[in-house]
Amino acid sequence: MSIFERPFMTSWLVLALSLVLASARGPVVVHGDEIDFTQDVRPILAENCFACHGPDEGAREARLRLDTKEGLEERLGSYHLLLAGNPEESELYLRLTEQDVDYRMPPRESGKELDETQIDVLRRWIEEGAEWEPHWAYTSFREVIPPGDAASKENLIDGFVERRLKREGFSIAAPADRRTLLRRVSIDLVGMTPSVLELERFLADDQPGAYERAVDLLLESTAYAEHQARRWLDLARYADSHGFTIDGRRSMWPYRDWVVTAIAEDLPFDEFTRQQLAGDLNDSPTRDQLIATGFHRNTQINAEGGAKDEENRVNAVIDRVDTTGSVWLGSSITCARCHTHKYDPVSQTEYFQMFAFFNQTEDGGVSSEPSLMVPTEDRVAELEAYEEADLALGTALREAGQAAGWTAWIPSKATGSNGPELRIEQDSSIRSIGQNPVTSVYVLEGRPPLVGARVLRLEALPHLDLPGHGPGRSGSGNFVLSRLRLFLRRAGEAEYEERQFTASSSSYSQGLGPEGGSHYPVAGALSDESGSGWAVSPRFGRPHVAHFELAEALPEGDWEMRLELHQDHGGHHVLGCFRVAFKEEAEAALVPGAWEEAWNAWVSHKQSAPRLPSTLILRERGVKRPNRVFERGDFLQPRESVEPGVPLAMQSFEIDHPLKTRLDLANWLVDPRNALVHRVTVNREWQHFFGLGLVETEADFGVRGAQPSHPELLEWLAQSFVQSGFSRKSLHRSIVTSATYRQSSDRRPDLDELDPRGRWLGRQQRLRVDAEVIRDSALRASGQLSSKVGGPPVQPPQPEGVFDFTQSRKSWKASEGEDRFRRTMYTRLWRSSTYPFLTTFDAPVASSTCTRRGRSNTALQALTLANDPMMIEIARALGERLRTSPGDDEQRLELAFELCLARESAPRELEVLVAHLEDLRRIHREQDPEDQLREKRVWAAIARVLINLDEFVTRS
Amino acid sequence: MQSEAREDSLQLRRREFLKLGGLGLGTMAMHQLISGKSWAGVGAGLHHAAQARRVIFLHMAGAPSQFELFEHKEALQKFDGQAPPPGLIEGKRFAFIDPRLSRLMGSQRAFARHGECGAPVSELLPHTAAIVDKLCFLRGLSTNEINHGPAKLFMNTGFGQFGRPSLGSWVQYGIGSESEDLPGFVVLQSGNRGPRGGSPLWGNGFLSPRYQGTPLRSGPEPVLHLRTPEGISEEEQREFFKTVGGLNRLRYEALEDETIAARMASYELAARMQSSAPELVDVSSEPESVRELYGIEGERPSFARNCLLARRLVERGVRFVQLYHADWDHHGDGNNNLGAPLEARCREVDRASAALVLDLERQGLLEDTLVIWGGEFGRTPMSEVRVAVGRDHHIDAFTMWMAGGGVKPGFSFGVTDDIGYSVVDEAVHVHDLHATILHLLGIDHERLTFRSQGRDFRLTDVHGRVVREILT
Repeated sequence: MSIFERPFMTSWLVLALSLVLASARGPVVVHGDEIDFTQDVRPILAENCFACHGPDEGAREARLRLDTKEGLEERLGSYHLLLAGNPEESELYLRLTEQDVDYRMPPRESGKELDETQIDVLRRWIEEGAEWEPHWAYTSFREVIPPGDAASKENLIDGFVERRLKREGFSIAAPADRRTLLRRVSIDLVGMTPSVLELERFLADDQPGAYERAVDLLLESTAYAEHQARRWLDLARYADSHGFTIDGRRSMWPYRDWVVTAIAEDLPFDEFTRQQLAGDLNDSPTRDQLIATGFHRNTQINAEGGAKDEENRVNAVIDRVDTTGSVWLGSSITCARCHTHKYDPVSQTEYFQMFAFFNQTEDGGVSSEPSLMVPTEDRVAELEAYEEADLALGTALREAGQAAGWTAWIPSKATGSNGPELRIEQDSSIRSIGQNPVTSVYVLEGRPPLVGARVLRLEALPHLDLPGHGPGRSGSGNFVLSRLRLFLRRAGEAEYEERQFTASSSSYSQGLGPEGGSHYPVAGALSDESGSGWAVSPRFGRPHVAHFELAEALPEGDWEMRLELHQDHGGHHVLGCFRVAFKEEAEAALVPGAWEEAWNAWVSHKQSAPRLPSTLILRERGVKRPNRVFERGDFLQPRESVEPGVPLAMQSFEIDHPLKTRLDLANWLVDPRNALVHRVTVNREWQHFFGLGLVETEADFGVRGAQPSHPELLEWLAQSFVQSGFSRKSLHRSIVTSATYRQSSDRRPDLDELDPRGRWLGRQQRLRVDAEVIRDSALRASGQLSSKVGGPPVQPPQPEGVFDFTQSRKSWKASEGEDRFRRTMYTRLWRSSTYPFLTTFDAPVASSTCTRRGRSNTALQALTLANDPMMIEIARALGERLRTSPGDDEQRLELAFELCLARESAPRELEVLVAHLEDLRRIHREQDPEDQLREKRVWAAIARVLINLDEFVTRS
Repeated sequence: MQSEAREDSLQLRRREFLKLGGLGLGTMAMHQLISGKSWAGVGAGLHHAAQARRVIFLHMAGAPSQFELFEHKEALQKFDGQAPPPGLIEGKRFAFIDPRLSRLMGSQRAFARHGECGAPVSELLPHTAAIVDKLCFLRGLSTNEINHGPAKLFMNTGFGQFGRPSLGSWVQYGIGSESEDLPGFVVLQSGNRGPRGGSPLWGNGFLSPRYQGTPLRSGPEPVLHLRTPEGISEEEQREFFKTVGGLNRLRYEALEDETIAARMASYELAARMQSSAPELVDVSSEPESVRELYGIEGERPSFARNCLLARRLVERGVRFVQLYHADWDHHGDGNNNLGAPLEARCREVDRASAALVLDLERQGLLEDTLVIWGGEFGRTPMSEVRVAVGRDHHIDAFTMWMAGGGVKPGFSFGVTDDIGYSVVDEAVHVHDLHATILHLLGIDHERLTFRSQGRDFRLTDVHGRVVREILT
């Protein structure tokens, strides 16, 4: 239904009808006095209109666009879409109130309907002048003056919160008691309940500033860095395996440890961002900068038999774009992959401009390369020596290969059918990489290198990355050159003319050595006979050379040459590494001795590589891939070319030079003027300390996302964050020392009635803690928690049979000793079967970036806390700690409360537990009067009760 | 339906309940809230009247060959050994075979028409053949993904990568469960390994974990951590739950926070599951005749045993039961080809699949239980020859069958070309299959949405058509 197709009723009738409707409705109260476009109007339009009248040109109806100022101000022939001050002359309003349902908007089939309040909002907005504002999140910073007395050194956050609460008739709640407060801030900052020592020290400090001192101690602890790193790893979709069905093991933990170190050092967030997105693009990047790029290597790899390399690569790039969008831009731009976004101003072209930034890295396909060896401190020298030799021997090999007297041919274009990429290397060898074709024709084109040449030399070269070290790409490293053809044409001419070869010879041909085997003599490469060709089995991992003599020498003049290597044998019998050279006359020794020597040195060097942990990294490749838009997001349907770029609507400041690389993108993201990114960042941190962000939709700052509950506070926090030099610690400190954070979480019935979701911040919230916090707190209470930081992942006990439901069964041998009791973030994460304790308590499975975890409550959680042998083991240790502590039963129970809940018991609670203690003793006495372990069992049971309490898994 | 609205509605109900009934935990209303039991009214459906109340999805993991089981093509037999028409393979994707070198291959098995409907079924599935008049064949299915992992995700979640809620989770989210003390979405597995893709196949994606599938494990502990830990007596376990409940109650009374009450209810459900789940998996209580019908031998885990468990689960109100049976990926390897390995797989599933339909019918459950049988895609009309004969992955046309709740019995839908390569009429895409399953359960696939990261997600994305032609 188009607005232009509508037969017009006489305007007086329309006017009369809408007046009747309006007057029948009566006044509707909307918060505040004036209608605010951003707060009140745009959400209505976005929800109900943008799908058909928004950014997506393909879906746009009636050429009408309601998401831009220009669109709304358009004149529609003789009448107005919007006439400021006059709703009844504004088509927009008339169509909403239209009596005839066939003409009313939104159309019935859309399933959308505006209620009276919404229509009234739009009417009043038009009456008040129909002022338009750009979407708040995409604007540049605006100046904010904190309410109250800035000089008083009070926490400035509180002024904003007080002001809002006051407007609603409330004020900030009283602070929580000191024990609750310490437990809260300890869980939020270091991810564990406080130790007895910490609690006692805090309670003993009755000087002003005691809380701030406790906070500072927490902020300086390694545990803080670990917990905050773990939060970041959710965003980074970190895991220790490749994902999908095979889900092979992946060494990625050096990246995880890099994050811990970076946060411990309070690496400024702008630098933190730059290193992760583009550390490899620094001039001579350090090892740490390369490790940091692992952020975007946390993508999955499908190693299944039929998986295609390019599909894997494209999926990884898509994930990088989507993750970057969610983490920094607070926008799910992923919709724009298949079509221009329906609501947010991101076009499909812009999506692929973002894609282009990430489209030029080497990784891709089934292989997990490139990776980087990471030495422990004591082995740096060893690794450096190895790397030095690597450079020297590699150069020697290259130089030895460029044998005297031959002119290597460097074609200007090299392609292979059925999917491989032909890459020309520094030593003019050509590598076939990426997709491994069953059969292929390699086509090389360029200028002939040498006038008068009569001999073409084809070197089939070994390479460490090839199966059996090559030279071929079949399973064993073989190839079959079925036919070699050479063509020439005068420059500018259309048709090539084939030139004939008269003779051939080779250093070795399959079947002609003492090893025997089927005959594949080199002469076969000049014959059209089916099934013939040159192959080299079983001499793999060595160079082989063939000479082909031309009937006529390469001519003088302006010529173009085309060389075709037909490889029709099947079974991936195609060359993996080769080089072409020309000479006037052939020589006897086909493979120079120096070459073989250099190669052997290279191989034994590679085999002597130090066995060090490695981690996946990003590396830019030499030859650029074309950047294209994919039709409906399908990489098999490339369309027009695009250049790298960022979405126009999100550019809140002028970009003075074109953004080309990942480093340019990173620099743009963390530019101090990039208000959107900093709003998104501080909002996500706020969310951590209050359960909800100031913008509730932390990953959607678009037009359909939530409005900020405290727009000015968000603005001020973001700017302060920038001014602080992007210090996360300062941000955290200022949040947790605010009166807003320190409020009690007790219910306030009068306030809760009006603000059930706690958006006004009139109290703290009770929140179920994360999976890791539950286990770490229990371990700490039991006294077993290891303080070891970083290193390879560990395997705390897990129930048997977890891998029954996955394709390949993994081994899971529970760690012994200290590694059994490490912080939970160090647990090995298999993507296809994540540690059950973690997923039961809402930890993400690292399939895509996770900006907020759920806080569910399920029966499976109850079963896990109650019965999981891993938890029982911890309960036993905690029980032992209680049993062996000095004092009587009641004192031990008090200790249990202190260790688990950081508080003293209430009298009735103590009664319940004392009764339980008696029951347990009776039960065990009845079971076995002689049981020497009775008290152990009894106290383990008490410990089990404590770590099953709702309060234990809740931060108040 | 919006996520927050739904959550708010739960909150509200919880609140109302607490207001009305005080703290009478242990009553049904609270369990319904915690276990996700239906709140829309059973039978009425969420958006329209439901024809099915439960689903049992028998997933043949690895993708069985339709040409050896259900699709008999004269032309394919005739052109056996010849190259496929070039127009067909142009620009198409294959997992392993080189299409230009491939050859068409007629069915390796003898076919006959069965029942009144005359549906063709091969000699490999005699028990299925005997019940064709109860089945509805979909012969024109297609999917988007050509490898097992992504294709399984696509069949289960409507999307080829990790991260989306599974069909069973969407159903839970939409209409909850009718079970008081069992999870509403249960997963069973048989064969020599789990399905490729693992837990994301029954994951909750961005929905609440309360909607995720619960794998029923073989052995004495069918649900993870169901067993009272070693060294703890049943009496102590009872006292444990009582004490935890008592302390939580004190805390609730002090703070009046409803989330504490909800956790108490979770612990009560957990305690009840401890007794109900072992009873469920104890099939020894079934008459010998029933065990024989399914072909259950001894106590070892098997597809047959899982089919019987599926019936026992739906009997107890479980909404969605997903079975996986592994190893249908018959490319032509020694262990995976259209010879003995295919025969073995058919022997493992044929009798039990048919028994499940018959048993459900006998129990009066078939009329509102939907049974679905099939793989994540089909196999090529061309052969794949390795050490033995097989077929490659094929996504353009394959066959599944459905039975029971709301689908036409003895019916066939979907027409493929002469060699079974492409669908020429009555096409059903996986999105359409999903739309139809939801429709049968009383759910409009376009209106069952959840907002995550700024977008309203659906099981069927922006696709899906209810295949009304197959509905009764």
